[in-house]
Amino acid sequence: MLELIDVSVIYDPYTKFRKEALTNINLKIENNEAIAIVGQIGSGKSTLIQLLNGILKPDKGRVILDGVDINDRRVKRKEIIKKIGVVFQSPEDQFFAETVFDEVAFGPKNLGFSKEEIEERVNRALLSMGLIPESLSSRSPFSLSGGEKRRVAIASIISINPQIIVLDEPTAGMDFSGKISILAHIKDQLHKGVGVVFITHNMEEAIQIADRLIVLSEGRIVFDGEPKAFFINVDFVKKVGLDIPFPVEFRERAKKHFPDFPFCRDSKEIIKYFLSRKKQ
Amino acid sequence: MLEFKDIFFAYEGEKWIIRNLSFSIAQGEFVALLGKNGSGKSTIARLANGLLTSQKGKIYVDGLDTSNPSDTFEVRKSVGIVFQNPDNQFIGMTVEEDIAFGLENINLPKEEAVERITEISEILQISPYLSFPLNLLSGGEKQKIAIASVLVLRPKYLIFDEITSLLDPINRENIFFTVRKICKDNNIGVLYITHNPEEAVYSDRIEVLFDGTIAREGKPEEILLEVEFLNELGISSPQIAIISNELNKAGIISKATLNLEDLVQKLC
Repeated sequence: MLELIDVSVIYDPYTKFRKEALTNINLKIENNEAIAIVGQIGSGKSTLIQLLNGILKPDKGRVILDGVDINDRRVKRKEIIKKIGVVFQSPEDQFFAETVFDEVAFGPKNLGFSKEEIEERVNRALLSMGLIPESLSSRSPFSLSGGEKRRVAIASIISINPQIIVLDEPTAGMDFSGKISILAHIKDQLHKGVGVVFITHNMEEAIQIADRLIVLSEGRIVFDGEPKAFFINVDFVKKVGLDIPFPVEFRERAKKHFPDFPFCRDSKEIIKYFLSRKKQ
Repeated sequence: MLEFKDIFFAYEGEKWIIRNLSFSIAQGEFVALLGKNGSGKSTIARLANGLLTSQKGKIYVDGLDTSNPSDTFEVRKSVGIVFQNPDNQFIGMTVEEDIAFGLENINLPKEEAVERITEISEILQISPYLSFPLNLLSGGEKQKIAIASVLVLRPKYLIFDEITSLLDPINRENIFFTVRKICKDNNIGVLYITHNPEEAVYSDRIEVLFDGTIAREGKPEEILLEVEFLNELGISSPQIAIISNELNKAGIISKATLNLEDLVQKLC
């Protein structure tokens, strides 16, 4: 379990650009949850995930992983990185290896695993992102399509076998088919016992993928719970500057005429409602 | 008129990435170019203002041939581009320097330059950041700066290459509608490249790009309600189109629509 206790982060504290990026954050993340972090630009989302594996140290408060303060000087960085894998925005921009295999093997190699273990992990990681090791391993990562690149980049974190994988906008810049493929494979990680924490700007993604939603506004957590409970309160969603997902917007308009119109997560559920209504 | 006529283009040693492509944009028209990743959208953007030159076919900007080196200056003045990632087109240290860069290049008198910068900053609501270093801005703010530095040159045509795809939905909507209004107000012809069909709903016309050529063109209602056709080309449809179509097929509504209020009315 990962726990943030009373965490605050302040950027450039002694300049005119001083900004309190996060204020008194309290959070517990288990290893079996799919959590979406949402909030306007500048609300502290990226800052928050940088705290999760110790890239950024809080100015106040503590980050506790399985009972250990990850910012304690006696704690080895490697032990944290092994457990919490972070995939940054446009991770493919950081490719450096000559082959896909080397790219995905970099993490496990650094952690000192045997050759066999590394190979096994690379193959497993690629497969879990829907990539076929035999046809991709020896290719240059730079020669892949945008969607493949993104999935290889995510696989290079999965190969470390983290307890929790944290992703900063994993589908940004991807087209329709790329998005669907990435989301499906990320969601799969959950079934493999890996916790998933992801930042998204796409409320439809949040409503469809996440079991739990954390909403940030001006550096504070303003909601932490089931997505439905957040989105059903349309005025609050607008107040924190977020987009109303289409199914919610639809419901807002439809419920005047159809009082029993349910909360829907996607267009399929909306269609289902009207089809079953017709049958009656 | 910005005209693409029978264009073929291939990167060195590769297959045609653009094949037999023809379409045109009039001043004041807002045209969406819709296609999945890898369909050739960004190549078209680069061809339009002469950053790339086609191997076959011609591109004309108000009659000027973009492949003619002596017209390059005029062509680039007439056709501006804004890219997906604003970081790739910043030059100045501060916001104001960056926006002023293009104006210095066309030797605009200082007073007029200041006037134009003030005007565009107000429209895009970036006046408070003019003295800021660029690296302090958020993605949405940066994209506005990139847009300002192109708009300030008062081009006749603008190519927007996935300018909102890295932004959050609120900024995306804000920038999309702001840009659309500015271009309409100033009679700028726009090629709005996107893979987001929700934006294409608000265009005057959609050109669907598939495998380097125009697979279909028409008004938003004519294109976006073709859910299955778009799906085959790897392009998603707006959710309203999907729902509309399914309910139409099931005989629950008589005609599919892209307008939410209209759909709800039809359902009552």
